[in-house]
Order: sequence, then C-alpha cells, then structure tokens
Amino acid sequence: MDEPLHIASLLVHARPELFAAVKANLRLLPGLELHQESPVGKLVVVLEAEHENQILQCIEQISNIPGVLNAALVYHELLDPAGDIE
Amino acid sequence: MSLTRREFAKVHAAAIAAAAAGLPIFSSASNLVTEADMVTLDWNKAPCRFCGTGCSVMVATRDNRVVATHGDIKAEVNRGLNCVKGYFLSKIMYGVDRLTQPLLRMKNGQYDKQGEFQAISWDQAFDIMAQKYKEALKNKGPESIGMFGSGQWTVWEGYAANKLMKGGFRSNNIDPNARHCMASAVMGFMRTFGADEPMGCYDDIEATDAFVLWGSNMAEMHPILWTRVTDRRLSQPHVKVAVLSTFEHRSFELADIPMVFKPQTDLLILNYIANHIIESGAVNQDFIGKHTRFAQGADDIGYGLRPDNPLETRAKNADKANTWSDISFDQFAAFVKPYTLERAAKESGVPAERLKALAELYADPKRKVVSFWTMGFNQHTRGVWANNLIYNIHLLTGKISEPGNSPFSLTGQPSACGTAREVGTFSHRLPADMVVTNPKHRATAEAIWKLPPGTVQEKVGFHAVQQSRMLKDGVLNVYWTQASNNMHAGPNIMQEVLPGWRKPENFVIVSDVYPTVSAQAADLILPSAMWVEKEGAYGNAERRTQFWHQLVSAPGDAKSDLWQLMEFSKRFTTDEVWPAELVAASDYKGKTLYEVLFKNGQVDQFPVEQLEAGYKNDEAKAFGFYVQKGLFEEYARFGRGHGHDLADFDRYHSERGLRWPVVDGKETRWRYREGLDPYVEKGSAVQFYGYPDKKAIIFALPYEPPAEAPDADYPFWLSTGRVLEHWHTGTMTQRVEELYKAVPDALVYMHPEDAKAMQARRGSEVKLISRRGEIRARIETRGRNKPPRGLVFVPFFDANKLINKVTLDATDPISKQTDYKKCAIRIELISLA
Repeated sequence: MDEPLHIASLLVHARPELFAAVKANLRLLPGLELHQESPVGKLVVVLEAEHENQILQCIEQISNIPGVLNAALVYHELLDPAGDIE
Repeated sequence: MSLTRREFAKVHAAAIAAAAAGLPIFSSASNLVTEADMVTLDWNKAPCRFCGTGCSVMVATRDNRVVATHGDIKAEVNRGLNCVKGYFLSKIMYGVDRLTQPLLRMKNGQYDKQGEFQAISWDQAFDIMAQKYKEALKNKGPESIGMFGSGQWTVWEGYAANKLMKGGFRSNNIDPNARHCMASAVMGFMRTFGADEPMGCYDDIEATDAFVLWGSNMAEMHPILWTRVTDRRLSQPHVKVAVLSTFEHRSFELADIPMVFKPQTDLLILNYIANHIIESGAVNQDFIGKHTRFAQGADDIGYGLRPDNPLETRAKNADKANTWSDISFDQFAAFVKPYTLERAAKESGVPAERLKALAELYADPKRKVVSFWTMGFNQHTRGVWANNLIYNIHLLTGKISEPGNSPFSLTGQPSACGTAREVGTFSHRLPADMVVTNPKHRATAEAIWKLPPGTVQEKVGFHAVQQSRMLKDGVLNVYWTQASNNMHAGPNIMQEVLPGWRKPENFVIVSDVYPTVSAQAADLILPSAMWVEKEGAYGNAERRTQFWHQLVSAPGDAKSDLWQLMEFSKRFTTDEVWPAELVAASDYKGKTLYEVLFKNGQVDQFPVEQLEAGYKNDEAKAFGFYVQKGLFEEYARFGRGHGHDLADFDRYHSERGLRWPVVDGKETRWRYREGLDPYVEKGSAVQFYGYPDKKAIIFALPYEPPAEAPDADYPFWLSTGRVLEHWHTGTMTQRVEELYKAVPDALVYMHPEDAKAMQARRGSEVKLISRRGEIRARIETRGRNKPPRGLVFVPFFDANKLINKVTLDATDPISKQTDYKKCAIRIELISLA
C-alpha cells in the first residue's frame, strides 16, 4: 500500500423504525464500515477513502438515504506511507 | 503501510465517535486514545471560527502552522463533534490568495481612486488613512467618518474599535455586520425583558419535551446543536419536533409537525397561538399576574426604506416605531381574538390540524417547549415583533427561564453575542446593554474610560444600511470595515452599496484576510491576522465566553485588527479631533488617542510577564503590555455587579468557556429564576430584572403585510440564506478545496412544476430579475431544499452570483435589520442545458 489513506468516523442518526433499512443502504456504500450502534437510532460509521473529497461526497450520500436524520463527522486521520500525519 | 496500522486507525476513529455519542466503547479500543501520532503535535483548544454555536475544537500546530483539528471531547457544547466546516478549519488560513501586505489604489506613485492596487508599507497606509480622517473631521466633523465591524471580531477588537470611535473620534457611526443578523433579536429582548440575550442555554435541549423551529434550518446551519436535538428526539419518543419555514429543508426530516407557510404569515400563526392559549384556558394566571404586564405597540411603522419612499411617507408611525402604551390582559385577549385557527390556516396555507397541534404543544401545561429561531424571524421587516410574539407565548404559559422551557434565539456569527451585543458595537449602544441616548450611561462610559464629561455623543450613529445610504449621499466620507464583507452581504448592492463606495470624494478601507468582493471595491486594503494567529475571545449564543491563545504567526505583514486599531490611534492628538473646550476640560492636551484610550493606566496595567508561558502574543510584543488582558478587564467593569458579570481574564484560558453572569466564580445557566440566577431575590420565584419593576412585557402587535410581494410583473418570492458547506459570504470556506468542490456554485432551488412551466429543467441557466438588479444561476429542482410553487431559494455565499444585487434594502423599522427573506422577482430562461 503506497497511497495515502483517509480514515474518518461519523455519528449517524436515523429514524428507529427505518434503522434496518438505513443500515442495509449504508452497507452498499464503498469503503464504509458500520461499528457501534444503539437501537434508538445511533450508529457509528467509519469511512476509508483515498481522497479527502470522497469523504464529503460520502456524507452527502449518507444524508440522502431515506430515514437518515443527521450525519456528523467526528474524527479524521490521514495515514500516509511515511507514517506521518498531515 | 501495514494493515495493522490501518485497522488500528479505524478502531480508534470508531472509538472516538462512540465516546462522543455516549455509546459503549469496545474494550479493545478503549486504551488507544493516546496513539503515538497524536502526541507528536502541539494540541490546544480554540472555539470554532464559524457560527454562533461556539463549538470548541482541538487545534494541532507544527512548525508555525495549523495542521489538524478535531472536535473537543471536553467541550460541553459539541462533546467531540464537528460539522464539515469545523472539520476543515485547519485549511481556512492557507488559501493561496491570502493578503500579506497593505494595498492602495495608485497612479503615478500617488493615491488615486481610479488607480490599480499596489503594495505599500503600513506606515504609508496609515499616512493616507490619517490624512483622509483628518480632512473629514476638520471639514465636516465626526459624522463624516464611519466604521463597519463584525460579530467575528474578538471581544477586545470590538471593544477597542468601539472605544476608538465613540470615545476617541467621538463618532457613533460604528455598527457591526451583526445588524444584518441579530438586531431584531436584540430589540426583541430589549422590548420584552429590558435586557439582551437568552435566559436559557443549550442544556435546555436535553431537558425539553418539544422543539419548535421558527425560520431556522438547524440541520444545515447549526448541525452540532441539531445532533443534540436529534439525539433527544430519538432517545425520548414522547418528544415532538415542529418545523416551520417558507420552504421545506433538511430539518423537516425530523419533523413530527412539518409546516410550510406563506411568507410573512408567521405573524398570524404566532397571534393565533396566543389566542388559542387564552381561549383554551391554558394561561398561567399566577405567572402572568406576578411577572408580566401588557402593552400595545405602535403599528403601521413602515419598512425602513429611504424616507421619501411612498411606503414610508404613508406609514403612520414610521418615526415612533419603538413605542408602546399599557393595556390590560382583557384588552390583549380582545386584540388577539380575531386571529382564529380558520384565519391562520387560510392565510398561511398550513393545514388547520397542524397549526392546532403546534398550538397544543405550547398550551399543554405538562409539556416543556424550546423554541429556536434564527434568520427567518430576524431578517424580517417585522422581525422585532416576531421576537416579541414568541415571548408572548412563552410568558402566557410561564414556560420560560427553567430547564426545558426556553425561547432561544440562535446566532449566526461566532461572537455576535460576545462582541456585537455585549461590547455594544452597535451605533446606539455602549457595553453591558447601555445606550448612547441615556445621559447616565454615557457618564458611566466616560468615567470608566477616564474621558471628560460630554465626550460620548448623544445622537445615535448610522446603522449598517444607513451607512451605505449616507456614503452614497456624500454625508459619510471615510469608511473603515473590518472582518466583514458588506459589498457581498449588504442588500441592494448595485443601487445602495456600490455607488457610495466608489463615489469620488469617499475613501474606503477594508481590513480582511482575503481579497473579498468588498476588498476589491475598496481604496485601501489592510491585511489582517485571523483566528489562532492572535489571542482571542468569542461569546456564543448561550452567553458562553471562550478564549484562545495565539498559536501561530500571521503570514507576511498581516496584523490583527486590534493592532491596526491601536497603532492607528497613535496618529491623532486630542487637539486634532476634539473641540477646544473638551480638550480644556481634560488633562489630555497634546496627548495622542493611543495615550488617552489605551495607555491610560488601565489597559496597560498588566505587564508582558503575565503572558502564559509557551504562547506567542504579537500585540503584547508590539505595545509592551498584555493588551488583551488590559482591554478585557477594563471592559468587564461595565458589567460586573449589573447582571453581566464576567470572570477574571486568566480563568477563561483554562475553561471551555463560562456562561455569564459569572458570580462568585459560578456561571449561570438559566437567568431570571430563583435558585438558578444569583440576581433573583429570595422568595420571588422569577424576576425579569431588566426592567425596574422586574416584569416582562407581553406585546399586542398585529399582522402587517411585507414591504414587497409577488405580482403580475414579478411573480416569485425570493428567499436567501446559507448552505451547510459554506459560511456566510464564503470567503473562508470557498478557499477550502473540499468544501468548494462539494458546493461550488449557488443554485436556484425551485419547485419542479415551476421550472416546467417556464420550459426549464434542473440545470437550466436562468436570470433572476428584481426591480433592483439581476443575476444568472442554474436551477436545482431536487436536493436538500424543496420550495413550494411560487418561491425560490438562493444561497448568498457565491461571489460570482451576488444575489444581493437582487434583494431589497427594506429593514425592520425598529431593529434596522434587513429582510433578506422576502422580495419579488421574475425569472427568465437563458439556456435549457
């Protein structure tokens, strides 16, 4: 792996009654992993992207999934081959 | 890169998000927060540079450069979260076109209004400025100079500017850009409570049973608070969310009661709710009997246009808009009686059952309610009334000043509260809610400032829109703007803003960090330092004062606005700017304004040795004393003991902010309630102590039509506003590549049937034309905003599509704040695409 890699985590709020459908839709997005969740509709999502602007696109995509109420970015880190943070 | 490191980073990212959300952290991740990469950087706290929410962010610096930011886990406001703008904070200072030296329009080595910008030194810049100021002061007096400031100024920058203008140059022509965003909220508070700023705080979010959004798209404009609202709604199923707007937007996704109303009919809905509360017997009689009185406000007050406009000459009470007379509860009940459910539903277009459900949220004594509003209320020719009417509802039911019951005015700028309102940089104000028209208030200011009696002028100065008009009319001739962009954000640019700036005899100075539209229209550009390039303080919407240290140096010759103000004051002696009798009444003959205002034994009393070790402070270095501390401590004297108490300067550097009044070291979360607010006397339960009788006023105010409405020639409503990715005029966010790419252009959000009716579609280029000007932009019929037929929404961030060429400069006659949400336009198709 020689390319830099962006890791970001988001807190996603979704309507509880649509939680399963939201999660199914989220799994279809590339480079995205589902982590901790709470049945009231909270979900931690981790993104992996080669370019920073993919992160924003992905947030926009998540926001547009029916049942998603909010997607808030929490953390971002750039891993580059030299092991340095930009 | 090893797979282990990648997996590790993901677990780490997830753990931080989980912690922020209050979700359990997997044990394998819990000890990873001190990952090695994180500690090689120098991390410090700072409030975010953008909106009025006041999130705290952790800022990492290395080699005199900000390299990373993340949400501050220790901050009560945002609890580790960031919105996308906050996430890209580290990049806002590093746009390629950052201004690094003063630039003057010149021809043949001389200043020339028609010349090209050329680099000059600070000395040369202050030479020409001082020459222009002195000419204007000599020929026409202090009314001919003006300053346009900012809710993005730090507290001490606003304080220094206010003092220099009102106490030094003796001109009240200083006004902040907060006039465009908060003035109606200010006058709403002052009229109802006799004291500015919210009684509650963000903690209300977790304590309430219902949220009502009035003209606020929190999901995009205050996303971190929206996260807290969403969290409350989802974790407590009984909680209800009502959203009112003139078009559907992202906040509607959470709405249990969504309502799209016709522009201006919010006044009808507000009065209907008051009527419903009275008719259904839901009035809290004990509360209104003890803590309120009733008044009827002047009506038919005009639209804040130029005095010769027919709308003004026809208005009965344009000259006494902010007056009222006492009435009884029965008279108030009779006043709101015609505002029936049927009428409100018919005229607003909102189904009656939804309006009734909304009214019931307020009327139900068992339900706590938070009302949030921003520009939908404030940017309104009856914005002060709208603010008064929402307080009516909370006061009639006693749902105020306690956890979960809160009418809450949100703010758009990081220090609209801290700098514009608390410091009193408005043209009628002094610090701590005092005003220039009150002789006792002027005397207080003169005493604290050690100035001779009569220094501060009594006459209210020119407010923001008036400044533009007076520049055009040649009354105002020298004009300095800092941390604002009025040639982009001001209303009716082509008719009322640009002509004054380019008028041959006028001289306009713009201090900014990038070549904004305003900078390009100026005669002299001064390069400013920004955010963590200086030590600063901001005050957010919940009365929270937050500090930060200078963490990096500004590029090139860029200097903070504070340095600019203080250094410039050295160019004037009292004899040059004050009348002889005033000089004679003081010991200041021959002294410079710098010596009188800043080296006055107070501002300069803290030596540089008191600076916290390890931090830069360019201003302290330049002037030889701890400038920020001196200014803050002098400023704090205005409010201590008067309900506006601030803590000692040093404490704020170690806190994630404190909400004033800070009494005996403790912040105040809810004002006016016994046991929660130290200013409320024992046994009184509630005291609205802004007024001498400690009662709030419930106002009878009618519906009145807007200044301009669609007709056969101009059939569409135009509303303007923001989008999530960009902040205000986009001067910072448009320079962050990722944000620019995400939303590069302002779009015309439009109903698909309206597009179809003009043979246009999504992506078509159209011309938006008003009676004042026109712009071109492309249609968007999908996406985040869904207007009803007959209304379009255009964001104002885009310098290439200046929607304010089209808007109307009608203002609320009381607050003088522009209504950017309502004017009439027609739309012409240019190309189908």
